[in-house]
Amino acid sequence: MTRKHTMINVTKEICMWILSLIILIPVAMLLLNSVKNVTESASMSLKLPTSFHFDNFVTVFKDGNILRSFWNSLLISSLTSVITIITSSMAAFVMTRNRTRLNRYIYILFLIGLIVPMNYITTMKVLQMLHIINTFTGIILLYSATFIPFTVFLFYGFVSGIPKELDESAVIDGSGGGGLFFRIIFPLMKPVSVTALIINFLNCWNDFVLPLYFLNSSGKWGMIMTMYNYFSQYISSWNLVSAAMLINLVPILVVYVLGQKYIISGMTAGAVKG
Amino acid sequence: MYTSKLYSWKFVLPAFLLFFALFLVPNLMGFYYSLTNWNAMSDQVKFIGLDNFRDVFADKSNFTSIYNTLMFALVTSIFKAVIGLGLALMLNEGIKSKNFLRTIFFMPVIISNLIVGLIFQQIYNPDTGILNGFLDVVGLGAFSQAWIADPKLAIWSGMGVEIWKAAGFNMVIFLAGLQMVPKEMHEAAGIDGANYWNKLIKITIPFLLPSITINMLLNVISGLKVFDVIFALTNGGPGRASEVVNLTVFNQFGLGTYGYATALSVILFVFLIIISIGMVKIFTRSEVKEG
Amino acid sequence: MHHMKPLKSLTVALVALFGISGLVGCSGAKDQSTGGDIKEQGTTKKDVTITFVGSQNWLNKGSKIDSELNEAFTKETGIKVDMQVIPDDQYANVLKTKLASGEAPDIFMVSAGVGAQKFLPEKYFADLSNEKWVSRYVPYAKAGSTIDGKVMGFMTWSVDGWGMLYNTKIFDKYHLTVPKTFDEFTQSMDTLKANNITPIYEVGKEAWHWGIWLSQMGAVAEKNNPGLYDKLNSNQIKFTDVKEFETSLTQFKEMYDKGYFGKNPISNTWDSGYEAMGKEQAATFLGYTSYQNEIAGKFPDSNANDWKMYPIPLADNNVFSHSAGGNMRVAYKDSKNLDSVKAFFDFLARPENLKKYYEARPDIQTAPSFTDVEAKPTESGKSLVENAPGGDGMDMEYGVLYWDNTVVGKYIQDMMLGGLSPKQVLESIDRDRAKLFSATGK
Repeated sequence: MTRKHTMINVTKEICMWILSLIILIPVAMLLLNSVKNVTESASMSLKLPTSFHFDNFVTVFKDGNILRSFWNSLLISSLTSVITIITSSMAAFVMTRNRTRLNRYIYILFLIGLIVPMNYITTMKVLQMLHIINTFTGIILLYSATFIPFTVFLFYGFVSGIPKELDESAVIDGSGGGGLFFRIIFPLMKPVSVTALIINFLNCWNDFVLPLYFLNSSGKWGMIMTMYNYFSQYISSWNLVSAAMLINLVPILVVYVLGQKYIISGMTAGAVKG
Repeated sequence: MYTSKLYSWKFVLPAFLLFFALFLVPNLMGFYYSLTNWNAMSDQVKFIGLDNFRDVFADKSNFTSIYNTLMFALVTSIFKAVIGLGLALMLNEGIKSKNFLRTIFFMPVIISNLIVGLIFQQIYNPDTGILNGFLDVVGLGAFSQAWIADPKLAIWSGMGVEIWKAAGFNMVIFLAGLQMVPKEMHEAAGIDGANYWNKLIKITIPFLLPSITINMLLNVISGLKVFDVIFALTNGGPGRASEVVNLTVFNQFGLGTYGYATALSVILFVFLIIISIGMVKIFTRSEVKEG
Repeated sequence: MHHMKPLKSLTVALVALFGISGLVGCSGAKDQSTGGDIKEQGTTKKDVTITFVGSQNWLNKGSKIDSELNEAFTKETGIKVDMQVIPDDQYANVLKTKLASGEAPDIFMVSAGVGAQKFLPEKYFADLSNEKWVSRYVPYAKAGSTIDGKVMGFMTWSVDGWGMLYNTKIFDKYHLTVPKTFDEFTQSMDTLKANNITPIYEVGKEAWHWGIWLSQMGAVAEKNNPGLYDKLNSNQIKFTDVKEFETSLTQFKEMYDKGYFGKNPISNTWDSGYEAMGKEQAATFLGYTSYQNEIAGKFPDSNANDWKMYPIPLADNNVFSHSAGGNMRVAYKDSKNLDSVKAFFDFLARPENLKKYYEARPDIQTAPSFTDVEAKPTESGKSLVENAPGGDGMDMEYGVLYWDNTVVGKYIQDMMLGGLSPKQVLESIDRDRAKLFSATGK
């Protein structure tokens, strides 16, 4: 039994590694391209470069804006994710537990939010009215408002899977609504929270459209815009563009790898039987 | 009894207020423009009733993009979910390097669509691309194609990219869902002699229903709202062969027919509402039945 | 409580990341501000920042010259210039939204010629007619930046046109000459094709490049039918009514069907053009007159600087068609910083700064907008004029309202692939235009 299992697992592992080439090859193309010279990088291929140009990364890093825009992206993406996750999980928790008619309607409104197309002009007018246009506060709240429907939806499905008996025992222990949620429920939603964190963080990090409209100062723009500017500056220099793309990719990869560990941590307890 | 106190409405308020004031209200207000002649060339916005909607349906070329969008949503939704489920089941347990493999399969999700589009333009290139190169090497050279230059194929190649990019996302949701499957049930069924497929269908899938709902709903919504991938890969070309509704909307905005463009996006919104509500109804019914 | 731990660690990690980048960010900021203090000592200007919005393809192209000049201006006056570079495909929408909601930047860039109309000049553009630098404009720059009799733009660009750039070495090798008629043209293309050289390299993945072909036919049509552009712009005549357009599209399709554009023209991206021409895989390319400098820069062995040009040989075209000068910077009429903006334009218009600017931009050196900078016409520019006995005229991109190369190009792509007939292409253009005319009540 054990040996058979091991065999199956090894076969599975090999198959999965072969399958992963579908993902790895395009990424490898990007990596190879980032260390080629200009002419070799004109058509992306899996050919090894004749010489390795790691100085491409130095060229990109020399730009003075990259640190500031990195900091902006980090600020906007992190705060947006935190605000979105806390508000959404609270709302989803109450809406699943207490299914009144009003709560159902509110949930449906959230769902509609998943599909409403953005109108920039009216959104801009509302931000003007609230005096938060062109501010970090404005853009962070706007991102949160945009991501809340999806995040609520994500939590809503999973809260239903948490047994209600837990609530009752917490009440017996003397917890109120806030204590119950933050001490008992929220920690249990860890897999979803981390998933939501990763998704919101990367959506925020990769977005370049909202800052164009709602932040009127390039000093507040994020890293992806800095990358965009390289496109014209290094026109047709695909090696430098690839290097810039990779630099932009690293932070979100870090967040994912960090977070991924926590998605998995929940399952190690009952791991493979020997 | 204690429900209203324990599950206070105050918990819903922050999320709702934020969403309502900064998202729902401004964007629904925007729909008003679909009833106007708002355009790039004049300063006055005049109410013109349903004229824009009439014009949208009178223009046959819009049907290609509507058809493309529906096909795109259908095909990518199914493939993303099936592949995502397969990956999740394979990488749930057993394999030693599962953490590493999960990271790899999720990686495309985090890459910006712009980069993905640029990379795949190169991969799909009929002369220098590695896809045709690969087909040649394995002796399937006869199947090599002008993947994004052939008007019949372009939208399908776009679907391929979307599936490549987002199957890993479905995988993560399924993986999270798999953590909710009680181990004891699998063990008990194993003792009763149930095989893998039996366990999958009788135990795992029912527990995964919430994840399936989430994935399918999100897949369909993102499928119908598709823009970035097609924009970066083919920009709707060649000609308008791979154009999708949101790209038409974007192009109309570019032309300056704002009112008309808004009308088109309102129509897409109505489609989305009907399809999503229908799906939620179907899935919640089956969830209730199973639960 | 131990449930919370992993999430907490993640939060801690995020906060730590924050902290680190915060420190680095702060130290960076400090450097900048001390530098700023020194700069501002000598001036009395208060803390003014002018906002400047432009499309990506127009700024810092292949260099950092726009940023450098902005910094030099700040150094001298203390006025900061916040240049916001917007991706090309978002630019029109972003600018229009900012204007419509009262968030107009102090300076923005628009296309010269009729393209500027899209942004309602009367309402948003400041009148710059009385600025000193206007007197140093070359004629095309003054004409291209003038709207309703007022100079409304500060232009540092180059008037340029599109023509058939051909590799003279290859043409000589096969004893080919500049074609005078469409028949001569097809004969020489057949020769090239028979010798396994792609006769014309078309960057067919870019829909707009297909549109350029038809856009150039406007000049010859206007020459044959004087007043055509005015009629098109006042909706008195349709594209389907102009026989030159249908003829050229029909011949264009014939070129495609004969395989003059090579095997997979629809897959070719803009960037691939340099290689195809630079490595002499193809003989001809529809480019602007400075395009050969770009090839020569990337492929020095090609001697691309010696290549020449002739007008697109469709519909008996013998006219050099060109732009209205490209694009220009415009000052927002109600800007609080209008004085600073004007000072900024003055600064950029100084001969030494103009020279610095044009030196960094080999793509627009052929015909600078100001008399202070020497024009460096290319071989293709000179030969294109010589090969155009019919004179010159404006192309449709700059002369015809509501023209959009990408939209038109998509219809042409469709025609090449057999989806539309030449007539249907023109009908589609008319339909799009009708929508805008009816919207504006014309």
